[in-house]
Amino acid sequence: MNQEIANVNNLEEFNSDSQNQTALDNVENKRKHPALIIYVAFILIYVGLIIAPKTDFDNDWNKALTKFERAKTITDPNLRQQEFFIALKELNDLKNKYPYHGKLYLNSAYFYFTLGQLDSAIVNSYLALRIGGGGLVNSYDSQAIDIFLRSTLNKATYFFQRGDTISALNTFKFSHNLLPNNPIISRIIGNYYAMYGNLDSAKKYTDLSYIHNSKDIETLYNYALIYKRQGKLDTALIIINTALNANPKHEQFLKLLEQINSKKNEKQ
Amino acid sequence: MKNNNFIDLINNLKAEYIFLVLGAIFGIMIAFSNPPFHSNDEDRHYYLAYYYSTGRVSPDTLNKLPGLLIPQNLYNIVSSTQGINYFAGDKISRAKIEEDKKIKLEKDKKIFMSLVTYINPIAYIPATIGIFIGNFINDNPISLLYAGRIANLIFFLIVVFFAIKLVPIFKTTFTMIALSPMVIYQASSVTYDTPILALSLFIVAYIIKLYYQVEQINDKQLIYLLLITFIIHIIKQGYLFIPLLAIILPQEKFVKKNYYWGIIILLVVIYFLATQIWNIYVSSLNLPPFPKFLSDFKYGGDESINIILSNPLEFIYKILMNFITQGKEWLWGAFGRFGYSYTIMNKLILFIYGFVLISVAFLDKGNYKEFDLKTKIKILAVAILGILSIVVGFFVTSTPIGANLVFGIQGRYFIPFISILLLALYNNTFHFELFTRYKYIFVLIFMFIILTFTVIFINKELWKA
Repeated sequence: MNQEIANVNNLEEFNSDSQNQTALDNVENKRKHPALIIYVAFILIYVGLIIAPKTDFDNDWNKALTKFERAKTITDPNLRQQEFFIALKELNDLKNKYPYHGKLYLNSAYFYFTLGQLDSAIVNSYLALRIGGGGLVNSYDSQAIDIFLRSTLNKATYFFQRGDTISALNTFKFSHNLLPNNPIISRIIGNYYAMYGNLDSAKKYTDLSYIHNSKDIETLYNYALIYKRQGKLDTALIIINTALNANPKHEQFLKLLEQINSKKNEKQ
Repeated sequence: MKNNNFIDLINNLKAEYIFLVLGAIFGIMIAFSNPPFHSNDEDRHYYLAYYYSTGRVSPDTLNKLPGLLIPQNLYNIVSSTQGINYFAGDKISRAKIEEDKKIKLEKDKKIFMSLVTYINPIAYIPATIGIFIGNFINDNPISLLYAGRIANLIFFLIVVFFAIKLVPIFKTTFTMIALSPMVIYQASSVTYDTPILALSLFIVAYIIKLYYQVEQINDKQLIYLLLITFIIHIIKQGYLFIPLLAIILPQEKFVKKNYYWGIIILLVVIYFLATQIWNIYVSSLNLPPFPKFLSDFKYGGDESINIILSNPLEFIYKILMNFITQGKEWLWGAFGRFGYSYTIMNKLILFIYGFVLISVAFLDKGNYKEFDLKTKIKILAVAILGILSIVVGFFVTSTPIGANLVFGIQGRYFIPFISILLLALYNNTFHFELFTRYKYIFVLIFMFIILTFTVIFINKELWKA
């Protein structure tokens, strides 16, 4: 209470002082009052920021990337493709100028993937993964790996559909050479060899997959398949049962179980 | 006559009650209108708040990775609401959320979610309590989110209520800041921004109270000041300058003049102490290292600092150009940017809100003497340095090396500095009698209109039609 009275007294003192000044002084004082100057400055800055014209201050690489990101959101496929081409041309020029900016490669990879130019998509996503800076800011590992794997799979599928299994295998091997630690590619190669009876190679690639992802149920499937083909039915059954405990409805394992059981019955 | 009585009755209402009523009504409406997990990083904050609500503090580990063991269906529901392509016009449907609301939480079926950072539980205390209590009512993951949002809102309302009650001047301005669309949106979400926004407003109010009190500042008050500072810094880094508003306190207010400098130094020391204390705790757990990822560019570190130091003038120019180039976006972000930050509210309304806010601060006459010029300069210095520290901080840590434009700044990061910046406008010289008399009615009606529009906007724009 005392505090308020004291402050009100301050204010009254302040007001009574003001009253003693002439009207002209008052106007002059008001004009020079810091609060008015600050208010006018704030309003000018506020309005200025809002009406500020677009500047050309952004880096060329970021402008190209922004253009590319915008193109991704265009719903009309023809227009999108057209915008992509323009952006890609810029990206390709800029990749030479800024060879250390991984995102330029990532976006190129994305674009090539949508175009179906899978070799370029594989190489660019690989380069994005090789170049990328370390750290927590905008990590893009999963995006780059996703494009890399999809491109590899699509290309291999193309060969499989035409019965060219050798070219399909070579596609996977090419990608494996680029990313030897990727468990999915190792597992697929392992599975390919298991299917075609090259059990030593199948084991080698499945082991590589297992080292990098021991929980992967598809890798376990490879092992079960290899042991079955080697005639080690009991070992295969142990793996199958482990997998079915985790996922009792896994179709491939159920089928394999059926095959092994019928094989065992035949033997008996 | 009756009308005048009614107007007088409303005008006699205290600012803190106007804040409380509008904040509660619109906060609850926004908490339920805002699609689940659509506030900034709300999914990640929710995982942590849920995890802490189960009584766990240290993270789990699996396959040499630190992370959280959380119910599988909780994870599935949350992740299904993320990554919606707003730019291509995609939105979340109410039907999907209604379906998700029927799913019971399966606490025993857990999934391991690896972490890249681990935020301390203090930031999540209100939301954690809400989720814990919510478990007893309905343990559906979306209902738990609403429980967390409401608990955060209650915390915000209580702290800001006392901030407005405490502050001897600027009550109208504080009320308008605390009721801004963006502040209420963040306050009604599960995020660590809620306690930051509330406590930053509270500490500014507390420092102004100490400035104007007739008595000397006693030990208890100094301890409160240091304690609030500690809590702010342990919740979120980057706000060193907010408690440093204490530099405006007159040296005569301290029992000994040396205490003034002692407190200022302590406020700085606490910043570093609080930001390190959680890191020390996490290190003591001997967790496996957090995974390292590839970034789209090379960011920060010594190289960034060297570039800045090699040409400081160019860096100052860059900062200035960033304000010109991105300032507008930051302003919209500070006033009303929703739905993972992709959706800006009507810009004309936001512009009017900002303009009115600055003008109200200018005309918000109080019963206490004006700040002298030296104090005004100190206030402006704290606000400007605080804002600059955020921009420079992002330049050094989150912007690709050599870039002109600073990356990753959102306007909401500047909200805690708005009250300090506007404080420089406080005066008793410029005022309209009519406004001074009816300012509370004005704020009540104005903010009612702004927030009504906000709720309509969120309901209309963030959901699939």
